[in-house]
Amino acid sequence: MEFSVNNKGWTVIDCCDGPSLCAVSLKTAVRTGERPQVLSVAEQASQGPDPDAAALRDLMGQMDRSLPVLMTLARTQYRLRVMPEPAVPQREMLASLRWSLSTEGDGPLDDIDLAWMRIPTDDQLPSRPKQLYAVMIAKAWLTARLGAWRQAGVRPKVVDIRETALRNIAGALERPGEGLALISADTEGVGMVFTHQGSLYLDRYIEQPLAELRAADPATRVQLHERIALQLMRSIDVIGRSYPFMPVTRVVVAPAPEALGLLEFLSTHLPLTVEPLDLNQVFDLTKVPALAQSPALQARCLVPLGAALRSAKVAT
Amino acid sequence: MRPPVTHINLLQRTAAAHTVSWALAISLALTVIGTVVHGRQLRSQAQEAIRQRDDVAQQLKQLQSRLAIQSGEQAKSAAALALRKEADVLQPQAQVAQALIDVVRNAEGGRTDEFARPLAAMTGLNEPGLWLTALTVSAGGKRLELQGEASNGASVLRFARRANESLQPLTLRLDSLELQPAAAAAAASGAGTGAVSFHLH
Repeated sequence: MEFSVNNKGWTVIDCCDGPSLCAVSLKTAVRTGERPQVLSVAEQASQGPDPDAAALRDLMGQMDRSLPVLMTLARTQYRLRVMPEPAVPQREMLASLRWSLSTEGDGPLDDIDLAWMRIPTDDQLPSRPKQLYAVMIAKAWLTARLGAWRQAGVRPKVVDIRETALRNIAGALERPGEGLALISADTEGVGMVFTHQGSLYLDRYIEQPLAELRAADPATRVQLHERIALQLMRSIDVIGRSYPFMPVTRVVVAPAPEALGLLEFLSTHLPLTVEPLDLNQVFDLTKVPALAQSPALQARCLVPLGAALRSAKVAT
Repeated sequence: MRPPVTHINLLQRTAAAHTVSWALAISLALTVIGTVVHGRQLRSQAQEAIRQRDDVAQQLKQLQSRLAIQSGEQAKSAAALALRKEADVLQPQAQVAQALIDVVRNAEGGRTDEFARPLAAMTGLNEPGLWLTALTVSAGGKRLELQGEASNGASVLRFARRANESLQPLTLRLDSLELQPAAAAAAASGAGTGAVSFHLH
């Protein structure tokens, strides 16, 4: 699936999440044992999911323009689903997936672009039917967005999704043999990714607007936190039954836009190790002290930072 | 060792087109580079061939020039040899003539005038390849006998005709010619050369 040859790093723009644009430039070409270095980071207010050209230009002006550009999409702009892996050669996979989706009545498939990634179980469960993640996006929308980005001087080499960006961070935090859950909150909800050996095995997203959580009284907030914790435990149970080779014994909670007590709640109520995400473990933040000191900015930049790990070599 | 992680890119189709474009561009560039390199090799080979051709042509010219020089030298040598041979042949004639003059001066005394006129008429004659061995003036300058040798009989005939023309003012005429192969001349210039001795009177 990967065709871009790049090991220098990326400038990632996350243009479609909430009321702001966010961009980071990450240098992944570092010495062995060093962490990828965040070169620059910027957040800019945006009027909506389709940022205007001037805002994009301003944002790019603060980034390292020598690096290739990667765009990450909002969850509402693509569909991600798990499917049985067709038993066909890899070169025929897209056509086969397209045919499979068409038989399930997923709409006119000529109008979508499709990408996929395997859920690897060959080594651990060779007899289990293989599955994969399929990502679908409306072709017309993507074409229009590409045109708009290019008018703003942004020519992305890659368009990626949020789940793989979060997967990259979780994969960088994994210890050998473990399954890891990474919990991250944004303005619209709470996402969970479960990874093993750097690959994504399960994802969940709970729509829970931040504004609602912020406005809730303490009792309601506890209920909302319980809902998240319950969903997390169910997912860990699914992982335990479906992928017994990757026991999830550790949950990492990413910085949130606001400190609303989720980390503390999960640490108290879950029979698991719950840790806060320390971005310094994954990234060298010495060049961006603003990012190092602001959990809110870290929360906003989590997806672009994770997407920028695309070409990084993760120590195992 | 962690297995490789799959990344996705929703720009696959656009990127694929770019990949094809890049592949075509790279193929084109490689073709151009190959053509240029091959062309340079061909050009350098052609230049080398031209240089070799020029070298060969130069060598050929030098050889021709040397051959021409050698031919000229050979020709000059041949001419010099021929001249030398002729001079050698003429040398006895000169000695005989000198001896004859000496004899005439000593023997004729005051009658040199009668002898001198036919002798003067004869000294104006010069026939290549013919030399005199004896000149006798008798009867008070009214009778002349000539003996000599020649490289061939035609020389003798030409000499006799011209001698009669020169002697005509003196009312002298050589009416008789005796020719026979000359052994001495044959020995000097090589056997079978046609040399003759003659007697004109």
